[in-house]
Amino acid sequence: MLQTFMTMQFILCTIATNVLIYRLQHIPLIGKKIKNSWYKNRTLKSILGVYAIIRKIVLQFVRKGIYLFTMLMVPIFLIEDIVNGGREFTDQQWLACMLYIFTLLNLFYGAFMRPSVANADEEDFILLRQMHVDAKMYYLINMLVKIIGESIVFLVLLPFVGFIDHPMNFLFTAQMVILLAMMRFIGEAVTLLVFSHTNNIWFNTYKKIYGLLVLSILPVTYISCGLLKGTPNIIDYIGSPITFIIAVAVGIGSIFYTIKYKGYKKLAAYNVKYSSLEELAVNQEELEDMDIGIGENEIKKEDIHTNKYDHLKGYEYLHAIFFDRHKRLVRKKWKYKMIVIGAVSLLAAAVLLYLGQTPEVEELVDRSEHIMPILLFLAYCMCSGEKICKALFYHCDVSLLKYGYYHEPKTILSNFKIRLRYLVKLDLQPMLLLCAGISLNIAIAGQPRKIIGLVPMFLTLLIATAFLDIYQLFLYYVFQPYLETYKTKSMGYTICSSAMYLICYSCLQLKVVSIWFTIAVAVITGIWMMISFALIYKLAPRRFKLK
Amino acid sequence: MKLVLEHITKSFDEKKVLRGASYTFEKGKIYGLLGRNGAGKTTLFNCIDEEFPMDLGKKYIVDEDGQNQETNQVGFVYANPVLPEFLTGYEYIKFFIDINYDKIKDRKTVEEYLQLVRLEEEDWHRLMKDYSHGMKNKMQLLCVFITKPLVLLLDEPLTSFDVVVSHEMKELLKQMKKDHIIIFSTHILQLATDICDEIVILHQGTLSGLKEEEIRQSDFEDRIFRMLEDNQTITEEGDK
Repeated sequence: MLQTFMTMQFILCTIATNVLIYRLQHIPLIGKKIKNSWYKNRTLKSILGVYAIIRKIVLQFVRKGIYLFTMLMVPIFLIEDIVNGGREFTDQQWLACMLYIFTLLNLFYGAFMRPSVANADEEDFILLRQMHVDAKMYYLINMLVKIIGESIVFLVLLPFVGFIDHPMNFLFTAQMVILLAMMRFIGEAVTLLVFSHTNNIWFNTYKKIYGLLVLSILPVTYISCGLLKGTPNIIDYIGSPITFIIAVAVGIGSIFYTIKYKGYKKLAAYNVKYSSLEELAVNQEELEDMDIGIGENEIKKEDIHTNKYDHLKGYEYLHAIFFDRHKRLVRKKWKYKMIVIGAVSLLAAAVLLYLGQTPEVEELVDRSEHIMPILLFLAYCMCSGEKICKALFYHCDVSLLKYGYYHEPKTILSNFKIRLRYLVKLDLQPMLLLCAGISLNIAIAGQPRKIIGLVPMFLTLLIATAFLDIYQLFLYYVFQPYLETYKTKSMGYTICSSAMYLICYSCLQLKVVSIWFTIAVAVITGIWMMISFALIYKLAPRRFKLK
Repeated sequence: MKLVLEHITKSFDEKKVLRGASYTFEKGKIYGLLGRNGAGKTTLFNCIDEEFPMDLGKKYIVDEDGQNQETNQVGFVYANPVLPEFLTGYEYIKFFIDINYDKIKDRKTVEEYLQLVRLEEEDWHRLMKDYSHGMKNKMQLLCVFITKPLVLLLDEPLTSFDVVVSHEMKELLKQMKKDHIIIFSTHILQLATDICDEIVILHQGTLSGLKEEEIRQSDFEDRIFRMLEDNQTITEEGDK
């Protein structure tokens, strides 16, 4: 096993190093200094290999750190604010809340989510198909590396969760981590057991349902944590020796099961069905998982032979047909947003009608201005720019970018304007419905005059939506981050996207939105639109191309 | 009218692909660019098409009056056509005509163009994702035919075509050659001799040509093999 492990690591390290050299070669200015002869320099590759490993480990820590911060700490801060009237939790309450969320998300849901035996990516293809690594060794090693690696990372990071005031006892942390590892092994064993009886990896088959389940479980977890304030005291249950013994016993049993399991070859054949990396890349199922695929029979025959767009010309014609033929893809999320916003608005209206015009309702209406920061962040989350750009790339631009006429500055700018129009139209509608829903509820609460005071907030929201669409399209044209193999690779794109996320997230700190803020947003959006046009005209002909 | 290539040099990192390639291509002829795998045929095409910048050298078109012309009138036909598959053949040609409206001389209707490449009427309103390889190549060739660029570069055409489609393509190319400079790259000698008026060999980064009368000689194939093999000896010595 050790030999196989070393071989696997060597191969993966070599791949990582080659990828690193390749990426370095594509950095402006310094890229030219990186020669192809670097690929055969063993000393250099050893150094880069070590760097690649360290980077991988550091990224693990960073990812888990971000996960703990966003999925544990931030919700607990919000719960403190909402449920505890802004007062800080006691150490005990904080720990109880943290453990409650951590237990539900990681020990239960997470144990069965994304088992390592369900993986089917490039690495699996290369090692199992091309390098013919023994399937059993491969899966067992992957399982151990993933679970042990994760355990070490959590062992280091968990004491820091709430490090300012609520440090976790190290021994207790170790106990939690062991429990987590055992639950992961149980999850892997259950997946194998189900596969042996059904010939299906249930996680992959029911991925969408599982995904929806998890998405709905998150608010349930946080809301119940808020209501219970972490009690019943989960520390006692999790920390109990009986719980620990049972979990470890079942975990050890699962480990033995995974070691004795005889169906790994069949599992490998099931997971890694492709005969080439290109086939892996163009897998339609993956496209649908990425939410940019269209099904075989989705385009109806009567929609194909149609002359409803014959009055349009050139790129207007192209885009009209594109958005028509990709209706489901484009409008799926839109429909969902409209339904949810509509339903929540109507539900709130029903509740307000029931409660009548009480002092509590009045206070709620008075505080309505304070939801602007959340709405701004919501506008960012609801922006469909990235998804639409991805779909445009994979279903349209990936073919047309091969031809010189598609790179001309006027063509790029024309397409940018057309796409912006479609995007803004798509994203503004849910925002308008949201504004209408808020207005309706304020009117039902008996304070229709308040609606006028909220107009700056509504305008800000709508203009911000347009701004986000312009920004997303701009990033697409200037960075063109998509590869033909359905991956995203652009550091500039990642940095700019992350910057926008941070800006929108920091908007959560805003207290009140005045008319001046609205004017500022409008001016910035207008200026940004002009800058985008100019930069796209200048930069996109060179940068908007196939990678 | 001529396409003149002068001392075109192109390297990728330390690997020199084109080493001062020079040749003059004339209108009214179909040139077969013959070379071994990895010789640099596609690189040469990309340099002509200005997809890659040349390290050294230049290319220009000389018209009938001896004046230099715009060199961006190049049409490229790929070995594996990539077309927007959500469009039907009819829609794609309509779109293509629209965006090139001002450049098209002797404009025809979409139907007339589709008939030109002998695409069955029942296929006009089918999505291109359901087209066969041959049909997609017809669409690609048709686009080039519509805009009639001065220079037509075909990268490994006619491979993986059935007999009938291959014949149709050859007839279309022969029809087009009188108004264009047509260069198609291949590593299949028989294909080159079948359709070409002149064969240009790309080897060791340079171009050398064989005229039509030489192609018809009985020892022509042997000469080609010797030309391609002879330089291999030079390559091995060069590497040392």
